[in-house]
Order: sequence, then structure tokens, then C-alpha cells
Amino acid sequence: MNSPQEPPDTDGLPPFVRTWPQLYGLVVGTLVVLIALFYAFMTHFE
Amino acid sequence: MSYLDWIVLALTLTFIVGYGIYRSRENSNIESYLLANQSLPWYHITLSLMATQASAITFLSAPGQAYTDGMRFVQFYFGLPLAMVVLCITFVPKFHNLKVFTAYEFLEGRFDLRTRGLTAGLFLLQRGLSTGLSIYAPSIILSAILGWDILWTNIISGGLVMLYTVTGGARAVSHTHLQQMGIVTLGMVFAGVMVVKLLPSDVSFTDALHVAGKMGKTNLIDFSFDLSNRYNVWSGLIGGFFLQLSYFGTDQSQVGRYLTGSSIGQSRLGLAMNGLLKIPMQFLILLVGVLVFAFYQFTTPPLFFNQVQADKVKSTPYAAEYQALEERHARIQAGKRAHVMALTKALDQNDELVINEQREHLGKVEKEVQAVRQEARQVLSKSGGQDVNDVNYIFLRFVIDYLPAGLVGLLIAVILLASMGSVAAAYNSLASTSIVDVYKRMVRTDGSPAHYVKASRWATFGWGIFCIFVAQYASRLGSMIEAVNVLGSLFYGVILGIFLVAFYFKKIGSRAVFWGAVIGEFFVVVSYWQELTAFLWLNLIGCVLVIGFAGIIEWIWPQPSPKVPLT
Repeated sequence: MNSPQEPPDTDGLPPFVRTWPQLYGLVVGTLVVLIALFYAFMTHFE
Repeated sequence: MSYLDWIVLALTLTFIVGYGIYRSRENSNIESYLLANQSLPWYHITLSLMATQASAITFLSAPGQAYTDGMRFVQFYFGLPLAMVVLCITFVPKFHNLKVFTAYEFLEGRFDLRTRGLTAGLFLLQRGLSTGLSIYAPSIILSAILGWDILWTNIISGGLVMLYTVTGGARAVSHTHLQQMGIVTLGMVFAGVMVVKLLPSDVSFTDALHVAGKMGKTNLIDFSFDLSNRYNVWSGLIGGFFLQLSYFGTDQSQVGRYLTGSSIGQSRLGLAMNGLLKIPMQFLILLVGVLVFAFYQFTTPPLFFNQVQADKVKSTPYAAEYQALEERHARIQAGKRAHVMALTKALDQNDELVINEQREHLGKVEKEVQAVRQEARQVLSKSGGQDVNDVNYIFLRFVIDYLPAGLVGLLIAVILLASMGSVAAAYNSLASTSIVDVYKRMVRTDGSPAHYVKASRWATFGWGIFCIFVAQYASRLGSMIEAVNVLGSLFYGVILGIFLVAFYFKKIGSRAVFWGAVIGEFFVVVSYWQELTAFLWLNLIGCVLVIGFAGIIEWIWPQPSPKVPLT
């Protein structure tokens, strides 16, 4: 018996991502990029 | 302050309070008063989360901390985006689906009333005291710099906000947060631009950063793993993650902000955007502090930034000793300036040899400056000065001494508004926990909606008075941003441990988690007392201890039928 598929949970998602995991990946990715940028900033000015 | 500054300050404060009161209408039931009828969009939530976390201490202490200790404090926030992701996945759907008013309400369904009461009690204790510190922090500094009586600065910081928080509840808090964040951002951008404009004409923004960087102030990243080092990447990612998860997941002052979201999606997006924006915002605040440091490499800074303390010593028998130190400090600074100019010139010419030579010279001179400042602190202490830490005065001293009329008023308004933003959320959360978790659950269970709204208003008022009282009697605490975070770290880990057991360890029952929390809190306090580790790690320790002890107790002394989780 086929169970009815739940609609994708997209309420509130911004237009530049399709799923919540993508948004979470963006948040974590931004953190990694920021750490890299801060490291570059530090080494450049030190 | 000039008349223009007073006008800017008065207009800004009047606008915010008036706007808050205007938004205070239509609170007929407790859902409306405590949760704004769960109707707010994501950007309200993001800005409200940021305004709640960024108190006046953030804008006073952080630039001062960058001035003295560099930018490494930014690493403290590295765990925040990770915590936002965990909150979006786990906490938000659970709280929303259960339609709870407070985070602690969830614990009764999962465990029992006793665990709910213990957690709510720990929150009320910690939040009540730290809100007092949040009021005290700007008050002591404004009263010292502007010569205001601290009672009045406490009343402005903690009392004005009561006008709209008591009447308007969560809706007024959230709407005023939007305006406050706008004005605060504008003020800090103006301050940053002004510091750059005040640099000598031949010194550019990047020159200033190079000078500060060569003197060790752009120390943003430290990959070394050292438990006794307060700020490095690992303490930020791991300790900071647990602190932020605990703060945003279990502290009602933050939970109450995203519970006002109109849906799970809006609350999630609000949290995720906070995860994206918080670190850049903190970086920019610290950058202002580093620019102020660079500015003072070309202009002689005061020996001690708390002018009131410095003036007081001049009327004691230590006046001559202090004056000698001031003269020595001025001589060192004058000598330093030649090295700074030589460094700037070498930077322009890209002359590595001279750059390294001048950096070495400046390192030695900076050590001399620190030694003189240390001696000055000792003299101030001997003369009976009570506040011998001037970190929190650095930024405001610069604002008062160098910024033009109008901007000084705006920056003082920024500090008061930042204070009001976090204090408003704290009052609202203290009231909701007191009413929902204590009064409505244990004292009077059959009141009408109007009765609970009235009780919530009285609770908000009562907590306001309590917090102003704490502020009035708070003692000097060094860097206050650290004091607040230390206080949070004493309790947050344990509270988080209780919630993580609730979410992820379904076989552990109420008795085990209750005693696990009591024993865990005891060990956290002992660890802090014995200085076993830097404070950020207390969050991890508290959390792990609760989970560990609860697991052991459940294993040794199993509870026959643990309550079935609500979800």
C-alpha cells in the first residue's frame, strides 16, 4: 500500500536554497570561509 | 556633553520608548503578552536574537578588549553558527510543536515537575543576576565618564525599558529591537569611519591596520589547543558551541525570541541568519577597537582611561608618584611615535628589513607602556581607587575626547539602547518563566487570561526592580563582558545537559536527570572555584557531567517507568 508522501518542508526557506540541509550547509560553510578569511587577514597584517 | 549631544540622546531614547509604548496595544491574553501571538517574521527574530545577545557590554568592553588584547575574542563566537544549526534541527520543532511558552515547560512532559522547577530556578537565578550586571555595566561607565549619579544611570538603563516591557510584553520588545539594532549599527559605523578620519592625513585605513597588526592586535586566529587559553579556535568551536547551544536553546531570554515566530520555518530562518551575521558583526566591533588602538599610536593616549579615578589620585598623597608616571608614559609615547612613523613609511616602501626592525622596537616600547600602566594601576589601588581596570572605559573615553558634537550623544544612545535591548528581553523572559513555570503551574492554576496578563505585568515590574537593585550593588568585575559570560558558564552547561538528556537519552528518567544535574552543578562550581580550567570549558564539563551522572544513576538505580516523551 502506498502511503501519501508528505509535502517538502520548505516553509520559510529563502529563495537561494531548496532544502533546510542546504541552508545549514551554507551556515557551516560560511563559518569555515570566515575562519579562513580571518587567518588570511591576521597573517597579512601581522 | 554639548547641548546637541543631549538633544540627540533625548530624542533617540524618547523615540524608542515611545515606539515601544505605541506597540504595547492589544495584549488581552498571555499568548499575546508573552509570545506576540506567534506572529513574527524571520527578520524580527534575527534582529531580536542579536539585540538580546548584544548588550551595552558588547559595545563598551569589546572595543576595549581589542585595544588591550587584540581581536582574538572573536573566536569565542565560532561555536554559534553550529549551535544555530542544531537548534534549527532539534529544539525549534520540538518547542513549536508542543506550543510551549517556555523551554522549561517541555521538561515536565519529558521528566517531571521537579526537574522543570530546578531548571527554571537555575535560569531565574542566573538571568536575574546577569541582567543586573547588564544594567550595571553601562551605568558605572557612563556615571564615571559623564559624572552622573549611578542611581540615575541604573534607572535609565533598567527603568526606561520597563515602561514598554511591562505594558507591551514580547511584541513591544521585538519591535523595539528592530529600531535599536538599526540605530546601534548606524552609530558603530559612524564611529568606525570617524576613527579612520581622525588618523594623520598620510596614514590610511590599511596603514592603521598594518601598524596594529605589527603590534599583535590582529590576532584573530589561534589554532593551538590549550585548555588554559581562554580564546582559541578550539575553545570557541567546542566550548563556545556548548555555551551558545545552551544560551540559545535553554535560556528563555533567547527561546522567547524565536518562539514568537509565525511558523517553524520562520523561527529556523531567523536563527540561521543569526548564525550567518553574528561573527561578522563581532569582527566589526573589534575592528573599531583595533582602529582606536592604531589612532592612539599617533596621538598620546591617557595613562589610565578612567579619568575620574585618575583625577581622584591627584588629591591623595600619591599625586606626585602618579604624575611622575604620567610624565614617563608621555615620554615613552613620544619616543614610540617616531618608530610608528618609521614603520608606516617602511610599509609604504615595502621595506621588509625596516618593517621587522621597527616591529621589534615597537614590541619593546609596548612592553614599557604596559609596565607603566601596571604601575599606575598599583598607585591607584594604593590610593584607595576601587576600579583599577580601565578596559571598559577605553572606547567611551575616545568617543568623548575626539568625536564631534552630536555623534557623542548618538554613541551614548547606542550604548543605552544596546543595554535596553538585552534588558527588555531578559525582563520578558524572567516574567514568562515566573508566571508560566511557577505561578500558573504551582500557585494559581485556575486564573483567567486577563489575570495572567496582569500577573505577567507585575512579574515584569518586580524583576525590573530586582535587577536595578542588583545593578546598584554590583561590585567591580574586571572586563564585564567576561563576567557575564563566566556567570552564564556556571549554569548553562548543566541546563543544556538536562535538555540533551531529554532529547537524546530516552531511557533516562526524571530521578536520574535531577540528581545528575545537582551533582553536575556542584562539580562545575568546584571547577570554577579551584580554577581548574578556562571558563568556556565549564559549559562542556557541566553538560557532559549531567549526561554522565544521569546515565550512571539510571544504570545503578533504574526508574521503573520513565515518563513517555511528549513527541
